[in-house]
Amino acid sequence: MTLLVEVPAPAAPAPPEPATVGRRRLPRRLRALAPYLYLAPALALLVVWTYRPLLQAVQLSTYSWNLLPTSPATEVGLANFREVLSAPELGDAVGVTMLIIVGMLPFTIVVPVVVALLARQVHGRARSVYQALVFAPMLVAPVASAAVWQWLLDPSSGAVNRVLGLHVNWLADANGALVAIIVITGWHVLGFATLIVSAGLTGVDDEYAAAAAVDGARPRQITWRITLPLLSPTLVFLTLMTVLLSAQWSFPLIDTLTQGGPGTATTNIYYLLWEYGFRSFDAGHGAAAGLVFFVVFLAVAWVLVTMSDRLSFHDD
Amino acid sequence: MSRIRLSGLRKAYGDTVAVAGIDLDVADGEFLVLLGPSGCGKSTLLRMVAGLIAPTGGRVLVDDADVTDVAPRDRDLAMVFQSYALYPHLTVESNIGFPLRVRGERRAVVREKVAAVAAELGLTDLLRRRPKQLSGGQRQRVALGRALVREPGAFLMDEPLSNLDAKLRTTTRAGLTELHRRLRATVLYVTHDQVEAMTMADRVALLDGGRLAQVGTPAEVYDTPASTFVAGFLGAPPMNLLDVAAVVGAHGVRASAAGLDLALPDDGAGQVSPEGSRRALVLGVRPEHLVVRPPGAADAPFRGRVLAVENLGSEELARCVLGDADDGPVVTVRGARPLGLAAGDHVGLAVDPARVHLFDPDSGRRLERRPGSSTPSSPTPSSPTTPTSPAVEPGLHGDRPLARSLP
Repeated sequence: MTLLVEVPAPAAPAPPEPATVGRRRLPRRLRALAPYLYLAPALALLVVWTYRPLLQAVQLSTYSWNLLPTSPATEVGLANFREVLSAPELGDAVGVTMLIIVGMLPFTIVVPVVVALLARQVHGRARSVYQALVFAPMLVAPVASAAVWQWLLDPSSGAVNRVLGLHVNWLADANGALVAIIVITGWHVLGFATLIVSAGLTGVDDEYAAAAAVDGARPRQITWRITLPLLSPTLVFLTLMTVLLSAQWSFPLIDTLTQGGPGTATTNIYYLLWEYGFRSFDAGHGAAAGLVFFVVFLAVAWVLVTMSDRLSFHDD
Repeated sequence: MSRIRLSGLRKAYGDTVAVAGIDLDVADGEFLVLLGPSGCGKSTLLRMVAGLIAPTGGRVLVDDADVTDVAPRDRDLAMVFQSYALYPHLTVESNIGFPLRVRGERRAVVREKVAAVAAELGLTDLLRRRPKQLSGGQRQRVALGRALVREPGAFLMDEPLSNLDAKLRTTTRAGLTELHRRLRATVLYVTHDQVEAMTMADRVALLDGGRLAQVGTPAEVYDTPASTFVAGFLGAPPMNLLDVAAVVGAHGVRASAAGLDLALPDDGAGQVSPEGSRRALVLGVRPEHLVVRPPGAADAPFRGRVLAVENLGSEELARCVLGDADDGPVVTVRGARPLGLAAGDHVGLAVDPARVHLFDPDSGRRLERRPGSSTPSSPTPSSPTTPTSPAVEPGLHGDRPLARSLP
């Protein structure tokens, strides 16, 4: 009778001994520390310039103080928050801020998408020239452009009124001033937004458009059904930027052109904050307002980022 | 189903010619494979047929309609992309239904047709998923479904299997062949994989540098390669190609090189050509047609030394250097395992003279005997635009064309 012997599976080889000869190895704990050491410089900057002031603002928001080193800061608890939240000018400032955000969306979403899509039809050097022209306003300092715009918006001899055939005193009229702030801020960020959309379009693989063309889609259908949905992460990002940053983008123009006026027609939340702190010299109110805006924007950002995650399609 | 005809189709990017004038006729219901190495222009050619790239010259005809300037959507062709190009934001159902929806088909009809195609491809349970939730094989089937759902005139496929793993590729290959047979569909299929070409094609069109090198059935292109390019491309490993000198001697024509002295099939060559005249040739032998003989055997025209032996499981490959020098020509022998060879062995190799292919060293074209004539010539060109070598070329010595006297 034949004896059957089972063939054994190959034995697992022993893991090789780590080479320790000729080289002292760092203790395990020290090696684990290495990535944090690389991060340390950036973290230090964040701590010094962002987190420490944030904590100081929290602290400051519970004091009443007029910013003079010689005068004492009085602790007032949550009174600053109560006063800021019940101040009638806060509601107005929030309203103005929302109007600016809504007014900015065409400049950060609609026009950039149209411009970027059209720019794809332009080829070679002309395309670079075209993109440079669109981007140029971004490079103009807001204060410098404000001076030029003030002149263009002059009610009697300004170019804007002459071109439009109107006699509007733009910066002295409540609605006119807000429109001017929105348009000028929009003009500033248009190039930046177009650049972002162009980059987003580059990230959309041309194969999808090719496949859709063979599948029978017309150019308009390809844009609406394929390109724009695939661009949605970029568009959500731009919306996020617009919502979070419009108030900041418009701040230097408000400060130089209207100083928040006429009345409070162009006082957005940051301008209000600035007025609390550096017009009324009320550090507590300023800090409290800053914290309120910080928390609200944090919540808005969280919602938009969650939305953006849900909208991104990884083509892998 | 449609017939696709290409006439003088050309594409140049500046001075770079991607496709250099292709004439090709894909019959109704035919599975034609465009085969070639990377950069040979096969994908460009396919995209010109699809209408995604505008040709520099020439025409594309679907049935008898000239569609050269027609938009892709109006060509009635469906395409499967190498990347599959599944729309990532749409579900499987919407992906397959997309071609119908953009044509304004009613929702109910779309749903019905998508369900039918999905059932056929085994995708019914995946209809609600998005592409990123699918495996490679499933994505490939969705891409195929999107092409099938329209019932197009012809299918264009751009390396549809190249992103699958080896095992899945084999089964999908069989599935595609089966589908083609059932639908009697016209298929223009691009690949660089000769196994796909050999197993699936009714005819294979080999492209080399934007030109057609040969068009024929898989058996034709393998058994009678029209050029050294085709011979060197097909087969794994490909045909051994050796530079030899053909000498007319007292006992017929002999091909000689280092370690090689082979009598070429003789049909009275010596009687019409002066003894001693020579010409250069490229001699081709497939690795599987070389037979191992003992060193110095009288019937072994090749003589050499084994460099290395590779075990393929069922077969073995032996690489042998011919002659005595280490830098001599190298041939590969393929045979059932064991070949009985080891590195360093001296070996003789024999070949059936009928299995020997001859090519012109300058043009690379095949040289063939014409039955009933002693005039060898290049075979009939497969395309009018294919460069052909002159049928008769002057010998290196003597004023009589030597080619005429060769087999």
